[in-house]
Amino acid sequence: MARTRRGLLLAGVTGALLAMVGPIGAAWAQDVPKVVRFGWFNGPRPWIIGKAEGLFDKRLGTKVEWIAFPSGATALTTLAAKEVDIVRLGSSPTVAGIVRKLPIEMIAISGVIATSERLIGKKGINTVKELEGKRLAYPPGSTAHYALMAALKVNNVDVGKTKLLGLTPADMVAAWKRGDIDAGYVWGPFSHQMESDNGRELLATKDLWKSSYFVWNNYVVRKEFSQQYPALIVKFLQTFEETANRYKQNPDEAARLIAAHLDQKFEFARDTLAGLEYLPLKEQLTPKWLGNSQTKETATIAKSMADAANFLAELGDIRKQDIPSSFAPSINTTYMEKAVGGK
Amino acid sequence: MANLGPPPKIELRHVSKSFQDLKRGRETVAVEKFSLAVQDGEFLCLLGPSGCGKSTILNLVAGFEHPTKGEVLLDGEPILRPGPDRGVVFQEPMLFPWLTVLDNITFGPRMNGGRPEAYLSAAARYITLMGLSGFERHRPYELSGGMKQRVAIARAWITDPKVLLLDEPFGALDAQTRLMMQELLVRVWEQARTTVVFVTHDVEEAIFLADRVCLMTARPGQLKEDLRIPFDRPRNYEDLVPDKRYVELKRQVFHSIREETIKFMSQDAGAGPA
Amino acid sequence: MIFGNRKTLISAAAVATAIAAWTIVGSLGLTTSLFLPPPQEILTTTRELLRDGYRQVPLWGHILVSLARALVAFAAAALTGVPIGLLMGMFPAFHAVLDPFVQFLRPLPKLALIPLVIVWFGIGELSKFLLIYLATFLTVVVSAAAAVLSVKEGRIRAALALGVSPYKLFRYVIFPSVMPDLFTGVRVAIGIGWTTLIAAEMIAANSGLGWMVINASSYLRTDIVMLGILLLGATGYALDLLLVTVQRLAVPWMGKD
Ligand SMILES: Nc1ncnc2c1ncn2[C@@H]1O[C@H](COP(=O)(O)OP(=O)(O)OP(=O)(O)O)[C@@H](O)[C@H]1O
Ligand SMILES: [Mg+2]
Repeated sequence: MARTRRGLLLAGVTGALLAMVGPIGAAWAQDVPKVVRFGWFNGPRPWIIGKAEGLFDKRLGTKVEWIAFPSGATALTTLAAKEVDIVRLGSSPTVAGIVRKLPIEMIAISGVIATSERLIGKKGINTVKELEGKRLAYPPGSTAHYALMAALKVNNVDVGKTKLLGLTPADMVAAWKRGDIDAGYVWGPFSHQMESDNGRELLATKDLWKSSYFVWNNYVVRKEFSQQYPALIVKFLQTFEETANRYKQNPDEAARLIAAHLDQKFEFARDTLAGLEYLPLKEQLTPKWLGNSQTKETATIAKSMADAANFLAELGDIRKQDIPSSFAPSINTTYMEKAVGGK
Repeated sequence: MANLGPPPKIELRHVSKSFQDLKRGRETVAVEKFSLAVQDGEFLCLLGPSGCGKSTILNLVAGFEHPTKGEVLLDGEPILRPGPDRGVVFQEPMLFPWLTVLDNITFGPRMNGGRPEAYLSAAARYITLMGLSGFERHRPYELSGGMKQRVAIARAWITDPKVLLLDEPFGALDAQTRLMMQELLVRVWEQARTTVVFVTHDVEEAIFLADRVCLMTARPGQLKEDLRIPFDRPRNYEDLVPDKRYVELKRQVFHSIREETIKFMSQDAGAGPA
Repeated sequence: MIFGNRKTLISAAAVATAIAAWTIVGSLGLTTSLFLPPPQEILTTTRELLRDGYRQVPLWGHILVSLARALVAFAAAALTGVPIGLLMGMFPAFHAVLDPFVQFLRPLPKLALIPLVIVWFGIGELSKFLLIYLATFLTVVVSAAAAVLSVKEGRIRAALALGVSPYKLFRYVIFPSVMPDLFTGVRVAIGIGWTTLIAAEMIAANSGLGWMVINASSYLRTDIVMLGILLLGATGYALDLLLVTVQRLAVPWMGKD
C-alpha cells in the first residue's frame, strides 16, 4: 500500500516537473508568450500601421502590449527591470545599454535618421560654425545629443566656448520661445515649432553621413526573451518589413492612418515619416549597414556603435574601460537572416 | 445688601452667560441671573459642583468673556477687557517657558513700562515670600508643580491688582503641597489684603482660606448659600480641625454640595439634545 | 544621556550591518553592477570622480552647487514663509484669502510645475530656485499658521491679564510660543525642499547632485546614481542635524512645557 502511494507521489512530482520544463523545451518550436511587451516612443513610424490595425497581434499570434516611453533613459531602466521585451530605441541609448552590460541584443535598424532630427538656429545664425559662444540645447542622452556633438566636431566648433543645455524637447521649445537658447538639436514636431518661430535649419542628421556619423533607431530585445522565443522575433521583423513596404507604396495614405491613430497632424506625420530611411532587411544584412553573422564584425554599424561609445566616454557619461572591444556580439542578425530567408 | 458708601469692589448684577454650541446647534446656559458683590479686601471662595459656572464667573470678572445679560462691575465701572488691575491664576501655571523665574514674575511690569528698580525690588520681595530664593535664574521646566504655581501667583500679584482671581490654583497639586500653598497664600494675602475670588472644589480649602464662602447651585449656576467664616486669622488646620464650629460648617457645606451634585448628575444624565 | 549614546550605537550597528550585507551580496556576485553596485565599486567611482570630476565639474563642485541652490531657496522660504504663515494664523481673514492657494499648490508634485516654470521664468537659476523655494515656502507657511493656532489659550489669557498690548502679545508671547513649532516646521519644510532638488536640477542644469543622478541614470551608471543618492541623503541628513542643533540652542524649552 505504502509503496504504491509513494510510487504515485513520485509519478505526480515527475509529471509536475515535466509540465514545468515542457514549455521551455517546446518554445523553440512555436510556443508564444501570453503577451509581448513592446516599448515605443510617440513619434510617427511606419510600423504604427501594424499597431493601428492589430497586425502584430495577428502575425505573432499573441497579445502585444504597447508601452510608450518618455525617454531612452526610461526605456533602458525598464529593460533592466525586465518589464519590457522589445524596444524601439535610439542608437545612443542602445550603445549606453550595451556598454553597461544590459543583457540586450540589437536585431535590426528600424529607421536611419536623415532629416527627422535637425539643428535649428535663431534667425541670423547661418552656419554651424557661428554657434561658437552661443547657448545650445539638446535632449540629454538622445540620438540628437550625439548628432549635435558630431555636428560641432565636424564644423570645428570649440565646444568649450559654447553653453550646452540639456532639456527635454518640450522644455526646449519653451526655452526657445523665451529666447533662452540660440539653437537646439531635436526631432519633430519640436524642430518644426522652433523653425516656425524665428528659426532656421542649420543642419540635418543626414548631412553628417558624409563624415560617417550615423544615427539611427533600432530594435533591441532582452536576450532572455529572444532566446526563448526566437521564432516570434523573426515574425516580428517580417511584420515590420510588411508595414514599411506599405508605407513606401503609399506614403500619404500611411501618414493619414498613422496621424489619425496617434492624434497628430497629418503634415507632421508625413514630414516625420519622410525624415527617416527605412532600410529593407536584405539591405541591412550588407556590410554597408549591419552585415550578417559573418560580416557584422567589420560592418558599418558595429563601427558606428564603437564611435558613439567613445564619444560618450569622452563626455564622461560612461567609463572608457567598460567599452567592449567589439559591438558585434551584441548585434544578432540571425533573426533578420531567417526573416529574409523564410519569405 | 443695600450698603451705603463706596460701591463693592466687584459686583455681578443679574448676570447670565450662555454659550452657543454651533456644532450641536444648541445653547448651554452656564450662568443665569447671578448676582454677587465682593467687598474691598474680602477673601471670597466660590464653591460649587463641577460645571456650575465657577470658571465662567471668574472669566467674566477677568474680562475674557462678556455677559450675555446683566452687568459685571469693578469699582462700579463695567468690565470691558482683561487688564493688569485684575490678576489671574489658573489651575495650570501658564508660565512662559522661555523666561526665567525672575523674568516670568516681572513680565507684567515690564510689559507696562514699569521702572526696573521698582519691579526688581518687588520681585525680590515676592521671591522671598514665595520661597523661590535661589531659583531666580531657573526656567519653568526646572521647577516642581508647586513652585511653578507660586511663580504664577507672584506674577499675578506683582502688578498690585485691585483683585486677584484664582481658578482652582491648587487643584493639580498633591495634598501636602496644597496645604503648604494654602498657608503661603494666606500669609502673603494678610500683608497685601487684595480682594480675592478663589474658585475651588475643596470644602476644607474654602473654609480655611475665606472670609466668605459662596456656594453655587448646579448649572445654570446661581447663589445657593452665602456663608461668613468666623475664624480669626492667622488660622491653622491644627486649631481648626477640633473646633466645633468648623465641623458644623463643613458638614453644612458638604451637605449642600452633595445635594447639588446629585441634581447636577441627574440633570446631566437627562440632558439630551435640548 | 546614556540612552542617547546607546541609540547612537544601535544606529551605527544598523548602518554597519546594512553595508556589510550589501558588500556580501556584491562580492558573492548575486547582483550585477547594473542593479546594485557593491560598495567597493561605489568607492572606486568616488575615487574616480574625486580625481576627474563628473562631466567637467569636480565632485565637491556638484555638492556645493546643489547646497547653494537649496540654501538660498531655504533662506528665502523661511524669511517669507514664517511671517506670512504667522499672519495667516493671527488673522482669519488673511488665512481665508491665502489658504485655498496654499492648499492647492502644496500637494502638487513639483515636477508638474516644471513646464510652467520654464515658460514663465526660463531655464536659468531663477527657475531652479523657484521650484525649491515654492516647495519649502508652502510647508513653512502651513506649519507657521498651524503653530499660531496651537498656542494655548490659557497662555494668551495669562498675558492679557497682565496688561499686554496686541503688538506686545505677539512679540513677547505668541512669537516665542510658536518658536519650537516654527523650527520643526522649517525642518520638515527643508526636508521637502531638499527632495525637490532633483526636480529643480532637471531644468537645463550642468551640475549639481540632482542633475548628476538624472544624467547618470540616462547611461545606466547605477554606481554614480547610488553615489549621488548617498551624497544627497548625507547632505540632507547633515542639514537636519545642523538645524536640530540650532533648535536645541534656540528653544531649549522645546517639548518641556
Ligand atoms: N467656551 C465655552 N463654550 C461652550 N460651553 C462652555 C464654554 N465654557 C464653559 N462652557 C459650559 O458652561 C458650563 C459651565 O462651565 P464652567 O467652566 O464655568 O464650569 P466650572 O464650574 O468651572 O466647572 P469645573 O468645576 O469642572 O471647572 C459648562 O456646562 C460648560 O460646558
Ligand atoms: Mg472651572
